[in-house]
Amino acid sequence: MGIQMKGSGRLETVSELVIKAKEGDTAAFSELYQQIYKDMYRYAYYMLENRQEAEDMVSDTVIEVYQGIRKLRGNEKFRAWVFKILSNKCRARRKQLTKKYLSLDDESVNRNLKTVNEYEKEQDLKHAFEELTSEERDLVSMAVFGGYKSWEIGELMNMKAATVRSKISRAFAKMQKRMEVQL
Amino acid sequence: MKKRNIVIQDMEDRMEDWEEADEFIMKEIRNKSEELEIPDSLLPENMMKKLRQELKEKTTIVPVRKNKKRFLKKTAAIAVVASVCVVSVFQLVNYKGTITLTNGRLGVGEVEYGKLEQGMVPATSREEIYDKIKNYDSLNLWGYGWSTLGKDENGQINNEGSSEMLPEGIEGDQVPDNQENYHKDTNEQVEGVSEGDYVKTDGKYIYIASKNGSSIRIVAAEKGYPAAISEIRLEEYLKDDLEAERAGDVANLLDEKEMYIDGDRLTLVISAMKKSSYGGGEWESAFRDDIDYEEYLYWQDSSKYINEIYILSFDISDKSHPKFLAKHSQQGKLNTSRVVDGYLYVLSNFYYDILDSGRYLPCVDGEEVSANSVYINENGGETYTIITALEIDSPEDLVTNINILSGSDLVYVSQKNIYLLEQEETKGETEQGDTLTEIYSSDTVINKFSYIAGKVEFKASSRVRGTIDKSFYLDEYNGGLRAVANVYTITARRETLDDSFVDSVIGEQNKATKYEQEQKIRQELEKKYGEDIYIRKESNKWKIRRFETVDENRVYTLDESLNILGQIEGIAKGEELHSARFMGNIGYFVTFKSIDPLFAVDFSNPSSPKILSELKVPGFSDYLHFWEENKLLGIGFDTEELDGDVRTSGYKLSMFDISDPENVTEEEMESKRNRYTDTWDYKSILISREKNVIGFEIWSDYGVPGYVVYSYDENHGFTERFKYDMELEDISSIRGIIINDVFYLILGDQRINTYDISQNYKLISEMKY
Repeated sequence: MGIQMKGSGRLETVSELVIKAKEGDTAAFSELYQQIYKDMYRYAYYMLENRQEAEDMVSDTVIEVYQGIRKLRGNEKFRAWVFKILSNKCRARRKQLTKKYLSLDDESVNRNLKTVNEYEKEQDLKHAFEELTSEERDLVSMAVFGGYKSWEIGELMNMKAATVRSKISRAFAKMQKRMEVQL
Repeated sequence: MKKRNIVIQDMEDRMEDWEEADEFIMKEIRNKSEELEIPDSLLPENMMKKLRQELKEKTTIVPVRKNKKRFLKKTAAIAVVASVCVVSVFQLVNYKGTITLTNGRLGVGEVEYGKLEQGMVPATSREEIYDKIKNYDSLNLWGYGWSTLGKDENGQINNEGSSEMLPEGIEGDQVPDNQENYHKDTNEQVEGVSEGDYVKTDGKYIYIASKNGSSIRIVAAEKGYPAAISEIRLEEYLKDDLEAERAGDVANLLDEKEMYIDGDRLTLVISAMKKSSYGGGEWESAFRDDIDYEEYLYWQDSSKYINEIYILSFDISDKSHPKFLAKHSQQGKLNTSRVVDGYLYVLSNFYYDILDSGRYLPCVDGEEVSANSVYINENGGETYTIITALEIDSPEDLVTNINILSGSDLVYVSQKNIYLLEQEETKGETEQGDTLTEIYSSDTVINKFSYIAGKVEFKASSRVRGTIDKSFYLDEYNGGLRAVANVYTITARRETLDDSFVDSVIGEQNKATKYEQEQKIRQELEKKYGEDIYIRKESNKWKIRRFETVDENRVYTLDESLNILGQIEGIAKGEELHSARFMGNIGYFVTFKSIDPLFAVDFSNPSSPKILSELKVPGFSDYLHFWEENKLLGIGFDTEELDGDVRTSGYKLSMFDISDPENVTEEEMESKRNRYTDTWDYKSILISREKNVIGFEIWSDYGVPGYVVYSYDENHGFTERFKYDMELEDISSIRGIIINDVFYLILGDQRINTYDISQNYKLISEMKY
């Protein structure tokens, strides 16, 4: 994940890109963004179940990251740092949304752009996430899209790594019933 | 049910820590998520345009540094004293928890099993607490303790254990004052020890603390025609504490609610999130040199919340006008609460975070607790269990506050004692020549505190091998304790293979590729050791790492001082523990792998517990409840095999005949496909022998909840008497309660349906408030 081919053939690590981005190299920042934006969106979408909300969260986060990247110490921790910001925003927003019974679901997807199969698959996963409590959703999203390890999640959420693992296992068991998964 | 298969390679490999089955699901999720269409605006080229726009319009925002209060003037003056005897033994690489060992043989003091002589003692000063925390933090234990091998894990065997028998009794429902007003609400583990719930009744009124809202409703039961009487709006009492901007925001910040009704008193324990402005403390660079404080600050989102518990007391002698009496608070996340003999005990878990606020002591009622209210043991811990107690009739002042610094999160409360359980991952190591043996295991430390009339006192501590993760796995009887635990131990051995052995296997084939050689060696070794082997070649030597797993269940009996009196090992190997319940001298517990053995254990001689019987039935019970004399009810799941894998297929009810514990039989069984229930939420299970009700929440495959009630009789077994399906409704919670012959179904925050039990659950009324 941390390696990027440059035109000259030399490999660039995340650290090198971050150093460049800190100096204002937008191409470097763009490269960093390229590597994580999809996971960011997926994370936000499964947390908030709403495209517009997810888009907003990712946008807000990227802006904050762009403006604050000079403050990042430990350049290789870029991804974890970005997801930390994103997850805090999503968590807070989700709490607001669920408590106010605002519509979390949007069927505004343009079905014509997808095959039925693709749409079904997408809904499949969406329904699977709906099985979960907010906390479970958060844990699963962090593990799958954030790419965090269980002890990292434990640190972020004040839990022991073992607790994180067992909660995630439970969450997967719930999701599995809704997905066509062969173990 | 998946089989645990934790494989630990190197310490670095702990980074790859998901179980295989979970990894697989994660891959599936990732794959499926790739179908998700990404909005155009987020595509890199568009995002970069947007950012350049932002840059033009705004100046760079620097995170605002919050004012750092001079937290403890004393802090600067505290000499940094490392606990030399401990820390010097080994050295830690980084704060993330990976540990490099500098010595072959380790120990943090010596860890014994059985009664711990040190136990817990009140701290004598803030400095002492600070040092404990610093020490724990620097050990980077993150829940890992150390043990030396070869220690006798039975501790002291005390043959003077009492074998006096108490008269047997069945845990009953609330004994009604008069038959006129039978009522049943919360399902509780121990008779006489009340547990809080969000729905309560006193037989005349129903009290509902809305799950998602911020109010308590008082509703007159009115024989099936409920009528709303009054409402307590929690915003009034909590808005300022929670620093909510508007009253309407309070609901968002409230979480679990545990309510108690005692005569004219309504007491509510609420878990809440409170906004916190961080940056209250001095940066202790001695702790962690590799983190920049500013970076850490930046990591924190400005909308950070911390956990706080609020206790609110009301006088409800006039149901239309509840009167506020008192409010208390304590930091942390709600663990549990109990009411016994007119006293409320509230337990919360507070994770100190020195980096965050500089605070290492929790606050109760807004003030930092005193040093001598803090109990410490040898190792310290990552959390405080804060225990407060107050007298329900005079709630103005807290009667007790003690704070236990340890890593415990599970609590079992008996009629006389509070047991705090701490799970500790342990690792022991020993080296013999070329062979390095590591044992990974999980222990439980039990800390016992007595309680009476609001006073809480430390009694004893003990350590047993194994995991105890449900309060039902413990039971106090005759002053002593019996427990069921699941033991999972991995022994990893690193060895260098003998040259002669290698030669004999590879033989003349030194022309073969390294891979081919490895395969040959593996073949030979697998015959001997099974499949869990890792092989590699290192400078002409072949090294292997192999794993042995012990996966079994154990029964322990301990005396009043938590000395281990007796134990049974090796029960149901390879199976998971699912439920347990104890009655008099007999205890029952359920394990499961692909079938469910129900074990009956005889505790009449505490030094020597004995397994009386083992009944194997399909599926498993997650919750056991004594139904009537000689009958044991099990609520759990049915299972089926699919492609060699065992999965739950629906909920299952079992009635076991336990008249002869040596010959337990499953008298009746009922199951339903594709419907499930949450057996961990035992409080919500409604069981009444008087009215022949077994009621619980059910979930469908689609996550849609409902509620079902069964009755039981010997001739017809289980009969479904009532069902409520919430197909298209948006209800966040369901609870069932009984008052005389009326069954009240509390739906979400705003509705109550009532049904006549004597007329086959005929609908009486539907009420909205």
